[in-house]
Amino acid sequence: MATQDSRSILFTNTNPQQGFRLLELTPELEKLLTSKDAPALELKTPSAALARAVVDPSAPEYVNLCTPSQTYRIRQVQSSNSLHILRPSLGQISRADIKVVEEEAGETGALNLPDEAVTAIAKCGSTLELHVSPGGFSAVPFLEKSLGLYEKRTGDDDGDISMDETANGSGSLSPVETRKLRDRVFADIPVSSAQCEAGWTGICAFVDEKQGACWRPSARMRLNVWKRLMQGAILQGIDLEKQFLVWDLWKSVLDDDDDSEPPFPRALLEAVARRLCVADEGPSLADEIKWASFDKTECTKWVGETYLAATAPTTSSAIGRSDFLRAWKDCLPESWREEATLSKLQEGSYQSPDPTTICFVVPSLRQQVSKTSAAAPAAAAKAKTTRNWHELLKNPKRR
Amino acid sequence: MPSIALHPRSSALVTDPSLSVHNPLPQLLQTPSGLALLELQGTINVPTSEAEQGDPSVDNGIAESTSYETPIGKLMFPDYSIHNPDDTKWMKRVYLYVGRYQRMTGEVKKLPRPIAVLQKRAGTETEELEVVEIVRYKVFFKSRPEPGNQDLRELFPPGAGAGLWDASSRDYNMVMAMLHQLALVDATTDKYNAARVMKHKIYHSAPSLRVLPLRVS
Repeated sequence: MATQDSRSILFTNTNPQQGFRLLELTPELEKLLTSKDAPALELKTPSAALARAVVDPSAPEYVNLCTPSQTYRIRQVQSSNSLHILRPSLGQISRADIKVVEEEAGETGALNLPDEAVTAIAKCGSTLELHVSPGGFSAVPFLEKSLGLYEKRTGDDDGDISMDETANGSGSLSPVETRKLRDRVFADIPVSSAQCEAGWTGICAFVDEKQGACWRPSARMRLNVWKRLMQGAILQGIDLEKQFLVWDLWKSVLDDDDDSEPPFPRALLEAVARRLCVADEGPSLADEIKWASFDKTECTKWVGETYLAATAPTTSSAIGRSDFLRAWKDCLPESWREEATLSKLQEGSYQSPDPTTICFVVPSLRQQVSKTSAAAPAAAAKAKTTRNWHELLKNPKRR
Repeated sequence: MPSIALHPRSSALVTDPSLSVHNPLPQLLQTPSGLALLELQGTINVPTSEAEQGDPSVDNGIAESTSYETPIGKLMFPDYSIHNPDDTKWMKRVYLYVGRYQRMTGEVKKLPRPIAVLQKRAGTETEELEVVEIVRYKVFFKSRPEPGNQDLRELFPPGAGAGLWDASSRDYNMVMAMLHQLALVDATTDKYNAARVMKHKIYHSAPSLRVLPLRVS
C-alpha cells in the first residue's frame, strides 16, 4: 500500500492531442541517431512503376527506412495496449475539473492537490518495428528494371523501362550533371544510397555523357569491354595487378587512328574498372576513378561469370565444360590462366544440365534457391524467439 | 514522393516550452525533451469536452491555441526517493489512480529496444519527419484496475442493496475481488452475502452509486 508521504503527481490529458509515431530502434540505429553528427535518414518507397516491376512477395506496399548504408523494412505493429506520451504539465488545468481526481477538501480542510503534474499529449495504438530480410536488401533488381540494357552501338532497351532519354544534343554532361542523373535513378530505389551505389557498381552501370542516359551493359558488352581492355593492356604493357592510370587504359583501348569512334563510351570502361578494382582502393561513385589496380581473384571470377552469362545464359544454351574453361582462360592474361577453375566461380552462379555442360544461373533465380532453403528454418527460429504474437501467428497461416 | 527525410534531431527543441518546466518524474524517466512513455492495458476514457461536443467545424488553428488539460488521476512512485536515485527497487511499483476510484499497479520497465518518438517537422514545404526523443524506459501497467481502499464507500453505499449490481458488472466484480483480498468472502459467497458483509464494514452516508466519470475499460 502507498506510504502516506510518497509524492503523487497529477496526471492529466491534453486536448487536442498531438500526432506522434513510435519507432523501435535497433542497436545500430540508436548508435547512429545518438552520434554527434547523426545523418538524416530517409523513408523510401519504390516509384509506382518500379513497385509493379519488382514485386515483393511479402508485402504489396512497403516503406523502407534507409540510413546512408543500411536498409530496414518498416512494419507497423498494432497493440491492444495504449501507449501514452507524457510530458511535464504546462499547468493549464481547469480548477473546476480537479474534483474528478481529488476531494474538494481533505481531512485537513485544505485542497489536497499535488502541485506537480504530467500530461498525456498523445496516444499511440501501434509502434513501428524494423526488420531486415534474411537475404538483405539489394538495389540490383530495381536497377535492372530501371536502366536500359546497353548492347553494342544500339540503344535498344529490350522492353525494359528505359530512362527518359533527354538527348542533350551535342556536348557531354559535366560530372555534376552525371551525378544528378544517377541520383534520380537512386531516388526511386527503396534501399540505402550505399546499397544503391554497390548495386550500380556491381552491374557496371554507367551514365553515357553524350546521350545523357543511364545504362546497364549486357553480359556480352561487358565481356567485350574486358577483352578490349586486356588486349590494350598487353599491347601497352600495363600490369593490371599494379596501379595504373585509367586514362592510360582507355588510350590503349582506342584505335591508333584518333579519328575513329571509340568502341564503347569511356564511362563504360570506367564502370568496369570500378567493378574490378581492388576492394578498398576504388574511389566512391562520386569521385572520378583515376587510378586503379585489379584484384586477380575477383577479376578471374568476374570474367568467368560474365563469359558464361554472355554465351550460355540459359540451360538450353549450355556449353561444353571444357570449351568454357578453355575460353575463360583465353580471356585472361597469360599469368592468370591457372586461376580459371570451376571452384573459383561463385557458388550457385552456374549449373550443369548434364555432366559435360555448363550454363549460367541469373542472380534472381539463384537467390530464390538459397532463400527457400535458408529462409524456412530462419523464420521458424525467429517465430520462437519473438515476443510478438503477430509474428508467432503469422507463419502457420502461410501456404 | 518516393522519399521522405527523417531528421535525427528536432528543429524545435530549443523553443519547446516543456524544457523550462520542472519535470516531476523520477530522474530515470526524464528525457531532454521531457517526453516519457506510459503503457496500459485498455484505454483511458477521457470525458468528451464541451468544445468537442460543440461545433465540429471549429478551426484547427483555434483549437491549437486553446489547448487545455483534463485531469485523469494521479501517478505515484511510492518507493522512489530523490535522495537515493541509484537504488532501482522503486521501479517495481508505480500506482496510477484513474479518477478517485480506480487504481492500477504497474512498474517502470527498461524497453527491450529504445523507442524513437517521431513527429512531422513543422514549417517545411515537403513532408519531413524528425526524431523528437529517444526513450529508453516506460511506465507499464499490465494489470487491470483494482478499486482503491477509500473508494469502497462510493462503490457500495449503505443505502443500496445487492440488487444494485448485476453479477457481470465491473463494479460488482471489482468489489468482489476486493473482498476476496480482504479475506471477507470466499468463492462460495454469493452477491447477497457479499452485500451484507459490505454493509457491516461500510457505514458512512454517501451518494448513491454513480457512474464513474473516468473509467479504464
